[in-house]
Amino acid sequence: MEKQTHFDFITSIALMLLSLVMIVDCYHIWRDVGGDLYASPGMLPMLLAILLLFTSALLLKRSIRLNGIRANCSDFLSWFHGFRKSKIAREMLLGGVILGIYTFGLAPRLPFWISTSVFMIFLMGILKATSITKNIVITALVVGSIYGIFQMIFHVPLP
Amino acid sequence: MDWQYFVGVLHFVVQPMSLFTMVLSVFFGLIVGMLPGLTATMAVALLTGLTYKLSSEVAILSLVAVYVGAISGGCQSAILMNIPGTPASAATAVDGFPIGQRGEGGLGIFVATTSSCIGTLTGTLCILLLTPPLALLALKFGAFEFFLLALFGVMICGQLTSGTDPLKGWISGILGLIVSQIGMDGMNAYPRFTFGAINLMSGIPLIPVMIGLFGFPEIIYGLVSSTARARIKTSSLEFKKGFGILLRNKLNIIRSSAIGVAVGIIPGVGEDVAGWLSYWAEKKSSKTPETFGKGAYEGVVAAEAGNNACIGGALIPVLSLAVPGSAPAAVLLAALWLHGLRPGPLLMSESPGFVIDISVYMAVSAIVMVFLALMVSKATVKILAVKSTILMPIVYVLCTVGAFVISNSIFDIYLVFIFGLVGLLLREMSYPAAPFLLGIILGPMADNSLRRALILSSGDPSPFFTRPISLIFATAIILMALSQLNAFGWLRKLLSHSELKE
Repeated sequence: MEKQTHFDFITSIALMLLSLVMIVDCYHIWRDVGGDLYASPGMLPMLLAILLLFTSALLLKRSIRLNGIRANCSDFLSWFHGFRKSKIAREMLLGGVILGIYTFGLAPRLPFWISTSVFMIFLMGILKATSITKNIVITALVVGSIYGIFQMIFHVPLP
Repeated sequence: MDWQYFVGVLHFVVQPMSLFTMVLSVFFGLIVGMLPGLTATMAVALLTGLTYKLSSEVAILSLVAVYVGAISGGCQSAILMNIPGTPASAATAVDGFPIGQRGEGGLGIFVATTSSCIGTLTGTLCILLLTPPLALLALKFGAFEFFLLALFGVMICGQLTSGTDPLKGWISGILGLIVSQIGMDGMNAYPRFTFGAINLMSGIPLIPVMIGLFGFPEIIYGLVSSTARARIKTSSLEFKKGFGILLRNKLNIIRSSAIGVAVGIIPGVGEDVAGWLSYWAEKKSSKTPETFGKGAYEGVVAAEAGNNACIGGALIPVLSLAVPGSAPAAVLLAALWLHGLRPGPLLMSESPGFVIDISVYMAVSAIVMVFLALMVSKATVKILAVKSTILMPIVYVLCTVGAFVISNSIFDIYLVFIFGLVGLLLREMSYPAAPFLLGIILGPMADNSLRRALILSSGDPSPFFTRPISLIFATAIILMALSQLNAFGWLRKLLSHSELKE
């Protein structure tokens, strides 16, 4: 648990800020809708925000008790510098970016079979997963089976 | 039991056409259940359209079979990839995945599948025996009880999945409940936290969130070269060892099945909650609770027996009250109407043999499911041997398709990615993702129930502590919170101080 105290310190502050914003927002919801608070659409969110504030405060208190404010800040900064230089972090980031390009760039704009083929061939190529021929065969099989099952048998539209 | 109906339906089930339909439907259910994002609800819904032209007997046989197959199939991807194929198998992944990582994927699948079958058979027996009395008990659940049940479910899940730090589990659960409040509320249609975005008006859909939370981190870690080679070892099914584990878990299976049936009977609370509650009960009663979360077979047995027994439980209110016990049961109810049957209080007089028909369909489907699942698992266990750099791009494509086909919305694919990042952050910061998911599942029920309850009592919260079932839940929640806040330690200190003074 001690290894995580700098994360706990940062996340608890972020969560406390979120809960405070939510409490204010829920108050506005109550004012907008009118009527009793217990029947307002802001009732449960406000209750949850108060619970989040309370639990985050407990987490913050624990992280300060275990490590202190200054040590938590310096631990977090040193973790951040290590993260920037880490090979695993870079690989994860690259993977995330490629998935993001498929999700937000290719899938909404191109037909399913084109976007998925481009994504799979490109990603498996970058990861050096297999030879280019096998890569193309695997992609064709995957795209073909998904297309066949969903579009042709069940008549379900694909992205 | 009316033996005439029983013999009649058995005769129908063993007809070649019926058997063929059943095998095909169970197989379809298993595949859908295994694929991340494609749920039992969707399997039943997809098949409903295809069975429209079949006779009502064959159609219902096929729908019940696909329901059983889909709930059971989810365990395979949970054990092999830590991606619950359906929300019902989320609890299975907690111990199932460490089993898979240990190289015992085959044994894990055998234990999970057999437990699923026993759970389904128990549920079937309960449909026959308990339909009238237990439906009466479920009717006693009002808005107060439903709200506390939701809160209790999230707290238990947070406590169970966070190891030694329940505070983080609860925070994760609260965040899930908060996310579930996004969109128009169920009573005033007021758009909450939507920031004017039309896509958020109908709320955050469950399936894309589930796929993102559980699937995305696995995919990202699978793409990283240094972690990609960690899951190559595998094992065969190991029947003898598997039966040994099941025999040691006799009581666990009975208790989990009973919990599953009881949860199933409560309308709106589905297989996922049944899995978690059974898991919690087993962990609480275990002599070695510290092994849970690290690949304990007891956890897998409890979760699978519980979620499958819930199928039978969920069908009890469908048949007796025409109120579905879970989401797939709701689709099944619609399919029954489509085929001219009218479940509800009049069913017993209008179609007296129907309860027996459904029970036999379920029992035979469960047995067919075991054989099929074990046959399929020989192929799925080999998934472990496939390089994750090949497997993970395919899994991501399946995840996006699974998210998209539910409502044909590109926005759902965006949600997979966004909640995937949330899942990755939660994992890196040691917050369990399961309470977050359960919060999203139970959030709408908690919101509607709390406000309805308070409106009924004109804002007076005292019925939460005066109604018998509410009181049980409220006491359990308060005790759970106090025990984690070390309140009993303070109380003990306070008492010893006052004794010293005296």
